[in-house]
Amino acid sequence: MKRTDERLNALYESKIFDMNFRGTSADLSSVKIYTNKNSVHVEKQISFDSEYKPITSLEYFAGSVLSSILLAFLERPNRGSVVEEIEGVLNLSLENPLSLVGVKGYEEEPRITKMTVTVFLYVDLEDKAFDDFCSGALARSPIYNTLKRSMSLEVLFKKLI
Amino acid sequence: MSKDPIKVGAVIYDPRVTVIWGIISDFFKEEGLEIECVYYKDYEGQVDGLMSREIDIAWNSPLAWLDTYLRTDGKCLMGSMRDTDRDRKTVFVVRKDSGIAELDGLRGKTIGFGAVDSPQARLIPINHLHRHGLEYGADYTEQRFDIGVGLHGDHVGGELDAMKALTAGTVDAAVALDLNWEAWKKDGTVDENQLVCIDTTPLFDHCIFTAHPDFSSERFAEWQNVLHRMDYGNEAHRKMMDMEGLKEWVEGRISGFSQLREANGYLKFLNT
Repeated sequence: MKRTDERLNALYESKIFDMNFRGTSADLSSVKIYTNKNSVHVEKQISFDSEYKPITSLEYFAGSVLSSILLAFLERPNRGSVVEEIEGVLNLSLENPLSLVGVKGYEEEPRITKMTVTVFLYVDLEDKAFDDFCSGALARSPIYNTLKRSMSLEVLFKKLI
Repeated sequence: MSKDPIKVGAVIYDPRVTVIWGIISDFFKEEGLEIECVYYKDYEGQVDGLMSREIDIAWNSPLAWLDTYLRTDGKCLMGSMRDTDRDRKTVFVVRKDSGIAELDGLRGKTIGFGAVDSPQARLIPINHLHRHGLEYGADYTEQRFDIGVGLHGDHVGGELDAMKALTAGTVDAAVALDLNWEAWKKDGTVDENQLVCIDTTPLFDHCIFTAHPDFSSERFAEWQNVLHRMDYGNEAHRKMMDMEGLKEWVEGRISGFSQLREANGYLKFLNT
């Protein structure tokens, strides 16, 4: 008899986890995005007004990237080492912002060309073990693994002392 | 009178500046006069837009005003300006240890200017030197810092680079708008112990709203009446006014552009 896990691997569900989201716009100026049990209301893709308070699409996106990377450290299954402190900083560069606000003469597509994430963490490991621990954790961030193939996404690790 | 929104043009090089125009738009809407903002990459495009009636009113640099003035045979309509647009001047700065004490000392020297199309950091100071017997292309060497060409010197980068070059010793003098010079001294960008202003141009004016000659003068007057109701005491207005650098909108005038017109004649800058 073949091993059980070989038969399991033939199953779609064992290889792919599908998720569906629905978005609506009742007022035709903002959108409501439904998650599994919740919803979020988004008014703008991005705001250039430093006093604008609601969360924009771009902020949700950046927050997703950063939270996914940090949580990859905290949720790591079968981890032998314990993260005692962690903090991250994300910097991103949006190219062609003037296309986004409709400035005549700028036609290029706005896009995020570069993101840098710096993770500061305290974990009781020496240098080589620390690096292995970090790269192992990062490998479990699906958002990182997706984006690293499509853009310049650098993740730096700094050991808190 | 037409009730269509008034189309107002503005040159935008930083997306954050659209916040200013959003506040102005909201204010006009509250006052019952709707405006539609049209953004341009550079002033040449904006003047083209005004000439083709894509917009009714343009927020023009002094050079864009002159371009419009010449293209409309002087028939364009003059609008308001910021209080801070009036009575500006350009400073000529040298290193204190250079021994240069007056404009004539710049003969044979290298002068750092801003962008090629900057009224305050190139055209007007070159004309000022000409008035004092120093001819362009003959009596000194021009070192230009072309940051944001097309923005008519709106971007401070060219002037700042010229000042940095002066500090570094790669040019013998640099020019800058008085407001920038004062701000840099205050925030420590330039060291007053090293640099000194040896001369200034006469006073000139800066940006101004300009309407197409065919735009209804009644609507333009209505626009200006609303604009002048913006109040620095109002918190929302103050935010916009601080970003745009004014305390109040004042009546426009074209007498403050005479040096620029003279400079344009001297350098034959605009192709008209």
